[in-house]
Amino acid sequence: MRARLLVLVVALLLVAGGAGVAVAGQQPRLRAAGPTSVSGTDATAVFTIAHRVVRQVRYADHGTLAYTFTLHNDGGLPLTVTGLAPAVSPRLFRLRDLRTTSGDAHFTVPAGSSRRVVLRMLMRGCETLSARAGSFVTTVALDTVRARVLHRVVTVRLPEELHTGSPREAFCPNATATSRPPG
Amino acid sequence: MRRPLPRLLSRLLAVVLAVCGLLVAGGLSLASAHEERPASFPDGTGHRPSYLGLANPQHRVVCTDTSARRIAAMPAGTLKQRNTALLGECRFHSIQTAINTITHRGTSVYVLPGRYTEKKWATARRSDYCAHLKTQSKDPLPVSEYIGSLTDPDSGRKPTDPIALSYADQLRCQHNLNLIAIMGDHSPHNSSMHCDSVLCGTQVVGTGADQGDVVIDNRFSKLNGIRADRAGGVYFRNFTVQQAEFNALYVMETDGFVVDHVTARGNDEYGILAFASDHGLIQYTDDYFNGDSGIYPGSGSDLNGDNTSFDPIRYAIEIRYNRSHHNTLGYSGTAGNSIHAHDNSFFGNATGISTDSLFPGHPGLPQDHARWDHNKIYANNANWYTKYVDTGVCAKPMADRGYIHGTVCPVVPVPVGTGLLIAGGNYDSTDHNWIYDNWRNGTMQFWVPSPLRDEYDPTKLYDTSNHDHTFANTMGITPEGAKKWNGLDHWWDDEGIGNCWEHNTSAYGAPTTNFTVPPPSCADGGSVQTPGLAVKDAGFLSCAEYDRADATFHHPPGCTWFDSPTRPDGSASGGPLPSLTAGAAAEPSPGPAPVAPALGALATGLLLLGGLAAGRRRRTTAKG
Repeated sequence: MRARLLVLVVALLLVAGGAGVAVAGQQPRLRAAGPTSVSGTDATAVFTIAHRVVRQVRYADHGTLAYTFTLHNDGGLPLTVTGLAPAVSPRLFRLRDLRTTSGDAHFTVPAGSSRRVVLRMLMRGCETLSARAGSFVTTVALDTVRARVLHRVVTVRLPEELHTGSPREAFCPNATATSRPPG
Repeated sequence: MRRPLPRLLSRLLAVVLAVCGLLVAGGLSLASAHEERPASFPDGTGHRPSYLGLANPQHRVVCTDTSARRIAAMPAGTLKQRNTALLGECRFHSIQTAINTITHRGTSVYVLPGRYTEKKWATARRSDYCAHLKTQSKDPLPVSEYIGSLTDPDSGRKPTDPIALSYADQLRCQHNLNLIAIMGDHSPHNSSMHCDSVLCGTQVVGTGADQGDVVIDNRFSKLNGIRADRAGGVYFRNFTVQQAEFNALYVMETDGFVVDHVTARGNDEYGILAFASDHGLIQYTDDYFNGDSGIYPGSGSDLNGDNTSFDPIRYAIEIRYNRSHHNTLGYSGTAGNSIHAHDNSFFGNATGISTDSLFPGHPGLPQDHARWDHNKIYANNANWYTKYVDTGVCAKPMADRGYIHGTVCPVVPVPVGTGLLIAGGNYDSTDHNWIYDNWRNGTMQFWVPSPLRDEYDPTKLYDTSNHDHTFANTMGITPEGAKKWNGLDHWWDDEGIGNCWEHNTSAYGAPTTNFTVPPPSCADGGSVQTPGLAVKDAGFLSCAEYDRADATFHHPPGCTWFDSPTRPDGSASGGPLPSLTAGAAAEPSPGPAPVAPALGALATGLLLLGGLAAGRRRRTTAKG
């Protein structure tokens, strides 16, 4: 009897362990999609080149660009987004936060469901970038957690590549004669 | 929740790296931007001047301490006799000082053999007014149009250096930015930008046997070597000008000018730059070691802006018999409108010729009606990006980079190995050229969406890369008949209407192209919009992030333009650009090798089980 119980416990442990392994090994599946919109810029347009969908925005120094899109959780577990993960900052943007449209910074996307979210980013840095150069935001790295313990950074490709050009100095108040490379 | 230490460490590392990156970028970004006042086109009533020779009765003579020795060394002949006679008249040791004494239009400044650094003007103390234009200018540019550099907030009472000055301030403070200045409009407050002074028709002429006998060396002391601004009728001949951060020779808002037998070399950006000018001629120049282009006819007078015929009304600037080589670009022209460039040689550059509608702030966009014919455009494969940017040479102080000895620090991204590039041009003609030995593409043409030039009118989205004709060119064959293949003869993104390629011959037999649907002939109207046909990615979007001073973006992610193409071997496979593919919708962050996640998952599972078991034991114990 005791031996049978031991076998049962071991079997249960193996099954549970296997399930844990399976769950832990599964990549979170987040996907960004439209519809999209932006605010915080006075001009924007979308165009397509090859497979690239680009949303051009006019740079507004130290303005906050808010980019709204839909975040889909295609995985099998609910997934909680806890914030932005560190990543290399684009030259003309500093990503500030990602929230739901209702303002939640920590939010859960149920399995197979989606949430409308807003990515806010500060437009800055033109004083160090030539007026002939530009900057893209194509992905966003998110800190996520599943089942309370499975932390993972997920990089999500945005539905459009956000792009802005470094402005002429008239629109870059902190630019100086020596702050930008030629261009 | 407390984060694992490695994660904290990695974040700290990222922050440290980011800070270091900013410091590096900031520390290296010491060059000035070339902002300029908003420019207008001349009204076109001027005319191209003629050379007045070495016997113009209205003249000034400039010499150096070495001129007599140099003249003595000249071979006997009329030129030596003339130089000897002029030497006896020499009253000036500075070109600018001589210019400042001109009292009649059409005066020639004869510059005898020697090296001129114009030390007096290079080191002259600025007036308090000129040193504080940002705060004291009587004629500041309107705020809405102000495109100049602002006062460095850390400079305190130190002199400030705005780059974009109003014309009135350029006139008052001629040597803030320029070693030698010829400012022709002496009534800046009236509505006319005509040349109206004694400086109209000034000719600056080196009297040596060739253009190497007179060297005007800016030594990076001023932004520009020579500036001719609203200086209608100006004529530059037979000298070398070198080592400027922006332009060796700069012609601005000028109706009527000639640059003739001039060498422009060793500049951070441009050799010869003509902006918003008309009735111009650039001929017999030799332009090399420039970080942007040897010759830049940007924002040429927009004579054909409303012309919907392929044939131009007339050209604004003619460029002929020049050699422009070993630059980032042999020729470039944002809004290079109404330019006729023929019988030139563009070789040894990263890209031979480029015109574009990519960059905002240039009057006359989108670019239109340029013609390039009977040029030799060859061997443009120089990869300055890997040679000098990647190796840190371009991070040195400008004067230490060795520009005069051949260093080229590209200011802009270009596709290495390209003969002629039209990035968003209209009604351009590329005909009867020899285009060979360019290892990526012989010609390259693509659409530039209007928002990239800050034009957001949706009706203008597709207003570039239309009605361009490429015909009767010899591709991959030298004028002597030797085969020197291009990687691909013609690259096109399939976008635009009215474009055609015909009657071009090729070393491959037939020209190699990447066209999805070959367009109809020119006579039949050229290309048509093909619904559902996706345009190809020319790569410029990724490369547009290029910044030579940035630790990351001196090689922007995804940019393949700086990859040296392989030398074509004559097989017809060609060498189109690598395609860029969109990534997956979701990308897990880069992690360890595949084995590691599995082990991690196993450990997590066991920990989970262990935790559950321990909790059960604790609960059991509590109950018990």
